[in-house]
Amino acid sequence: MSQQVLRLVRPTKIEFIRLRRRLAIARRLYKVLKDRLLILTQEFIAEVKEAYELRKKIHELIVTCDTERNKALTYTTPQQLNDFIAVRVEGLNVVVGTRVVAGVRIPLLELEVKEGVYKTTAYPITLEAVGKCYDEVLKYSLRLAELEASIALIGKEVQRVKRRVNALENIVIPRLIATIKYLRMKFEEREREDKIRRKRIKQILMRKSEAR
Amino acid sequence: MTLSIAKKEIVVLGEEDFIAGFKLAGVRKSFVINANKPTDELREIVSKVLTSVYEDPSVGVVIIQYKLKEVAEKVLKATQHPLILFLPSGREVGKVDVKELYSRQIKSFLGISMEV
Repeated sequence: MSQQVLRLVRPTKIEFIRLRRRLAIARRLYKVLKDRLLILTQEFIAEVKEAYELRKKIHELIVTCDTERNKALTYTTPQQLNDFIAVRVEGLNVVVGTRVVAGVRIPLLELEVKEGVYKTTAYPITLEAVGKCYDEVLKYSLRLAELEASIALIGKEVQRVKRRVNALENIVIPRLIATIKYLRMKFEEREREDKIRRKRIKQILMRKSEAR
Repeated sequence: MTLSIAKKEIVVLGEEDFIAGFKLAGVRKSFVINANKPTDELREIVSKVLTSVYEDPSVGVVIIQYKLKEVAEKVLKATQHPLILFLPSGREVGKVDVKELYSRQIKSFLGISMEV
């Protein structure tokens, strides 16, 4: 299948030159795409490794924070906790942007926290520690969300580029090479036929001149 | 190339225990979902909540409790916005195999088995 010859309108020299140009472009494109695939794969693996480490860290933090919270709740009433939640942070937003990695647009998140003003003596110190612990969880969670989205986007791009590289490597380039080879053989055959024809004509003409 | 930067909100979906921590960190938007409900009922609730989240342009990130992952994944849309993150609660942490999670992703995207 890969050795199939392209369907040509006319087996001419012009077509031959055009095909050779196409082959050169296809080979250049193949090299570029292969380099891009390498970069994307490296980026993908690096992001997966970072996400893996970060997720492990977040999971450990969640366990620590939950334990701390349960301990803190023994000294706090639910009303006190709700009041603390209401005053601790005044505003929390996430700034969503994008960055480009190897031609892929991936999300970029940044946490924006406006801390609340309150009397620290009004609440148990353990509650503040728990709050800080969850601050860390949230901060790392955003980075993880960013990484996991990047992994999915870069992964899809890897699949897309891989399909193109495979198509070039196994279909387009072999077909172009086969067609060029076919044309070259055709021209050689035509040349041989011409040569024989010229010889024949020469012989006929010589025979005619001898007869006169 | 257009650069779009916007201020968005974080939404947390899960059981009360899971949400409480994020509330302490300052998250204001949350949806309490009882994960112990029957699957069909749970799917309906999660679907309703996620639809409202998708329709809200002010939402940038959605943190969903890991317990709801199976149900949520069936109703999730293949869009980039908002970003979705599944996190376990303190009690669920042991049930999540992080290594397997990322190895599966490598296998599905790169087509090779590789340990993280």
